[in-house]
Amino acid sequence: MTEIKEKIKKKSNKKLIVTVVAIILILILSVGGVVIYNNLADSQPTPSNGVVGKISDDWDTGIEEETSPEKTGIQIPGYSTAEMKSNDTSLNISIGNPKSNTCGFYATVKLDDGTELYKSNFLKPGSGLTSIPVSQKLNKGEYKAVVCYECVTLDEPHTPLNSAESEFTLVVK
Amino acid sequence: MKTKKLVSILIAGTLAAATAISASAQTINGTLDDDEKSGNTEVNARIEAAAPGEVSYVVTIPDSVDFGTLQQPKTDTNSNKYLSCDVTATQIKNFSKKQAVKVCVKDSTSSDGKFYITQKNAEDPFKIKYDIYNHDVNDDNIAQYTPLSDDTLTENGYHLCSFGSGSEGVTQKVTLVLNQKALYNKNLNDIAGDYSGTMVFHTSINTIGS
Repeated sequence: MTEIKEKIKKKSNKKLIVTVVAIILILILSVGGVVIYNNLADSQPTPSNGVVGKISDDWDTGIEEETSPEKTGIQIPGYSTAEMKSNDTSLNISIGNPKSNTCGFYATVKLDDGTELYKSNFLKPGSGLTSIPVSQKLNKGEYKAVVCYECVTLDEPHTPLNSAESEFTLVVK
Repeated sequence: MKTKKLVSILIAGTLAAATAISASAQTINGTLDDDEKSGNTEVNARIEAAAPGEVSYVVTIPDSVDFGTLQQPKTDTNSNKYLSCDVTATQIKNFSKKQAVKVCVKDSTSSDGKFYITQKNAEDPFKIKYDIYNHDVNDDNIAQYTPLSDDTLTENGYHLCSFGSGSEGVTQKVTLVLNQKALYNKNLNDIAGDYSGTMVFHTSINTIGS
C-alpha cells in the first residue's frame, strides 16, 4: 500500500516538474521575443514617411509657419543637404508643392553635370513625396545637385510660369 | 519536499530574470548626475537645423512676367514701363549666423544673358528686352541704379539678393523695366500680339565669408 502511495507521489511530482518547466520555458520565450523585437525595431532605419516614389496629397514643408503665408507669388522649397548610400536606389528628400500655391509643379532632381536622377508627375498644391527613386546608383562622394521646380498654371494646357532651382549637396556614403 | 523547494526556487529565479529583461527592453530617459543632486541645474537647449532631405527654407518668387499692354511711342525717346514684384524669404529653418540663402535670377531661354519677352504664335517672333533692378525704381530714380545685367553673369544667373539668419519674412523689392522705345518705328502688323517671358530663380545656401 505504501509502495503504491509512493509511486503515485513520484508520478505527481514528475507531472509538477514538467508543468513548471513548461511554464518557465514559455516565460523565457515570450520575454526573449519582446527583447528581440525591441532590438530589431531600434536597428531598423527610420522609414520615410511614404512609399518610394509615391506622391502624397498631404505634403507640407515641415517648417512651422511663423509668418502669414504670401498671398501672391510662388513658394519654392529649398534644401541644404540630402544623403544616400552608394548602393541605394532611392533618396529620402522632401519634394513637393506647398499647399498655399496656386500653380502646379513638375520637380526634377539633377546633378550638376546634368544627370537626371528623378522627374515627378504633375504636383498640385499640397502634393509631394518624401522618398524618390533614383535613375542610377552613385559612387561615394559629395555632389552638387538641384531640385528644378518647373511651375505651370493649374489649368490645361499648363502654361509655363517663372521657375526655380533649389541647389543642395547630395552626400553619398 | 526537496522537489517542491527546487521548483519554488526555479520559479522565483525565472520571474526575477524576466522582470530585469522587461525593464531593459524599455527606454529609460534621463540620468541623475551630481549637479542635480546638489541643486545646480544646467538647462541646455539645442536648435536643430533641418535634417538631410528636409526642407530647409522656402523662398517666394514672382509667378510671371506680365507687362500688360505695350504702347508704341511716337518718338524715339525712352518710354519705360515698370513692373514691381517681390522675392521673399518666407521660411528659414534655424540658419546659423554664417548661413544665407543666395538668390540668383536668369532668363529661362536666352543665351546672351539678357531678359526678354517673346512674341507668341509668330513664325519669326519679335523679342523685347527688359531689365531687372533689385530696387524699387521709377522714372525719378532709375538713373541712380544699375540693372542686374550690368553685373557678372554666373552659371546660376545674376545675384539678386541674399537672406541670412533671422530674415524670415524679409522681402526684396524687384522692378522689371521695359523700355517701349524698342517698338518705335516698327511695323505694328509684325509686332502685334501677346508676349511672354519667364525667369528662373536659383537658390542655394551659402556660408557668409566663404
